[in-house]
Amino acid sequence: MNSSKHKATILIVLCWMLFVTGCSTGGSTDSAKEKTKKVTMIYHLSVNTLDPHNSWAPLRAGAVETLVKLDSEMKPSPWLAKEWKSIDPHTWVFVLRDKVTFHDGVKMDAAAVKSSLERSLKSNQSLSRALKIASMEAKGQELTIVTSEPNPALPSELINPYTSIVSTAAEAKIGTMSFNDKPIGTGAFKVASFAPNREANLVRYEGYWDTPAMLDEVSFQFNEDANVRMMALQSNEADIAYQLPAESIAALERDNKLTVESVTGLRVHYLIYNARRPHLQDIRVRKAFDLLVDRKTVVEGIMFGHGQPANGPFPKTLPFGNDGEIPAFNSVKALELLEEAGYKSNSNGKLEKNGVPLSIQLITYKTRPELTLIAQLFQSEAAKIGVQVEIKIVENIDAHLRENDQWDMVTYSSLSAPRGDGGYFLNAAYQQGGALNPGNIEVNHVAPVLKQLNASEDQEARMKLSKEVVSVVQDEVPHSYVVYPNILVGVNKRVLNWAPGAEEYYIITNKMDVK
Amino acid sequence: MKPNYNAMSSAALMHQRSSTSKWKTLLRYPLMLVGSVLFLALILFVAAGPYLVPNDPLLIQMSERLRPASWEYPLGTDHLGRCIFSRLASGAQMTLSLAGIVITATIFIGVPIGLLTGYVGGRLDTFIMRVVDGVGALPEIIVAIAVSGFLGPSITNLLIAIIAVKWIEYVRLVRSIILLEREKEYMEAARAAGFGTWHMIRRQLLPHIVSPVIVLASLDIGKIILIVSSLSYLGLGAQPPTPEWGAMLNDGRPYFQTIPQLMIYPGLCIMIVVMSCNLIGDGLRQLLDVRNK
Repeated sequence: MNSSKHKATILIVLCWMLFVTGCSTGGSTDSAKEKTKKVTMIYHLSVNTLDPHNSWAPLRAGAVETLVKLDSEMKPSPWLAKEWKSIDPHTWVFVLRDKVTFHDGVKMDAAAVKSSLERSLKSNQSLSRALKIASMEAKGQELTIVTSEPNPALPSELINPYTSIVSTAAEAKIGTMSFNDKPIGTGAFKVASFAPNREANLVRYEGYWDTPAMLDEVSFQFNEDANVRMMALQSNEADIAYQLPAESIAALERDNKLTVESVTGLRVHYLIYNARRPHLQDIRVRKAFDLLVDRKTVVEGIMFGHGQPANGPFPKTLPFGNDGEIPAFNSVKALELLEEAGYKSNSNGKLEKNGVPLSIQLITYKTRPELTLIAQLFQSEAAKIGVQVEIKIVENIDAHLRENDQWDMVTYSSLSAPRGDGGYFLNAAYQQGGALNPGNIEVNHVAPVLKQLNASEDQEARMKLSKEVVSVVQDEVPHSYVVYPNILVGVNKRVLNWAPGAEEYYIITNKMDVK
Repeated sequence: MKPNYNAMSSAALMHQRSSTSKWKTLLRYPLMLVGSVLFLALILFVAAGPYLVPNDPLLIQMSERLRPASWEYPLGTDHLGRCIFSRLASGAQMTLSLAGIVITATIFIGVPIGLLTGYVGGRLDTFIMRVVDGVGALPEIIVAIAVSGFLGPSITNLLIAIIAVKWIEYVRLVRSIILLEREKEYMEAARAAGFGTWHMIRRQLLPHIVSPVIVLASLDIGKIILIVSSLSYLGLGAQPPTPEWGAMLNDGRPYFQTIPQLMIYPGLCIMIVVMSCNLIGDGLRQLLDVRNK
């Protein structure tokens, strides 16, 4: 009896010691943290490779850079290329910065850039269509690019993260596998380690050509669950959390350590109609559905004001944005249009034509939670006038659209002006076979204007033509544009000199710092 | 033969006694009583809900979103302005009928297979039991997620997924009882009397498995409701706007810190149903188990 009491005392003392030592080690890591300046950020997309020509993550994490950068006014500006000029419609000369070195210390010259661009073109089919490079010639710091046809948009296309400059010599040395985990670029940070779909750890590159980074380390984490991102921010586990759900902002604003940045982005949420489906080939049906989209409610109720109602692919903040009126919700007119198209209300109050009820399958996905809510709002409004909408939530939207063509509508979200230029979206969304055209849309009379746009060099003319394409397209209602969502980013106030950009490209920079 | 009046009257007396003792037995299991009361209350809620609160559970009214509790909306409204009470009531219907369908289907699949494999034995038994072992080796929620993930998200596929993992338990249970009973003397006698396989299974063996199957089924209902809700929570079951409790729980997730009711109400419903089913199941097990008599 006595000895068991004794044992218990020893056990308690041991537990207490363990507890105390546990505390003290915690303290020592805290002080170590103070010495190294580190920022942890959580991004909303999973990334399974750091191959800069297949993923935007290395550019976003500040590990690689492109020849041309998009400035805050959405115009191309020098980055790794100091300047550029076109000698004739087919030939461009890019002069590269001197003093730029890759993370392995090797100097970046025109030959390295040429080899890197060749790697880009090889690993990315759509890129070679956009760049139209026929041949390249490297001489010192001067790179001459000859295109197969006049390509006035070349400098703006070289903003594309897939054209990031990497050292192919280093890749040959360490092998493609390990290169795709730790790409050797020219950025302010170099990749220290990478765990696919989880995180990339970066450290400052001391030999950076511009001012070396203020931070010592960056942890760039990936998590698709918005609630996890938010809780990580609240618990100080993360300093920056991207793409927070609008409905959770109220909870964050109560916390005085945190701020929420809400920036107008270059993105649009929209509904795509499947042009293969017979009932959607009738423009009156598409127009009716467009009238059923309650944009005002979406902005106020679903986006909590963190967005703008949309009437075209490009937000008004862009010089070629749509300045027309926002289509108002009007279910009475929608019903009239459907009746005009031959649909009649049956005994159950559902609309039907020749005995076949008007039933729509609407596909949506959860990566952007507001899309499923937009779908449900549309469903509810459609039900009120007798249109049955069946919602299907799929895991991988692009794969689903590639493999099926029996859907009617899909909620989608695109960066419509990724490089401050609408050319990419207009070509990809309104031409058959385009990367953003799962509905196989073909708009009459748009091809000649697009062709003109693709050949025009002058910025003013391009903007005018972009607007023209949109106005030609809008008569046909191939899409219903719903909302331009803001980019919502939660930031801990200890992070200095940082704000999210509209372009969603340059996230980790050399200038950002922590208190 | 002279009828035995004495025996008959004693049987009638026994019957009378047993009906009063049924209540007493029920009182001997207070937890089961609690479970039954909760369950009945739930049935009442499902039946009376639409009359008490005549709101459309699917109607989205953004102007009414996130309202607190009121006479019009007894539990408030959700993020799309839908009445939470109406959604819970109609979700209960959905959840209970799904569980009912799954239980019926698994019994109708599992019991005949178990009877057959246990009675016939041989290669058939070996084959079926290897399949059962194979499916049973994996945790059932994982298999259910895999099956419904493979088939795509919908209620029908959810049912298929759960039935696909649930039937094996019944095969195992029935088979083990049959293996015990098969070798008993009365079976020898029946066989000697020249009864065929069908008669043997139906008249001699089936009565032995009824009560264990009822007990297992009542315990299973709770588990099935949990699987249905988990899969819907993961987005593999009910699709919006279907008011299913698991899906409602998921819908409320972004509001957990600001308006926790959106998650608490469906969570409470799931808890109460699962608890009442388990209490009833436990009680039934004790009641029907011969060892307890």
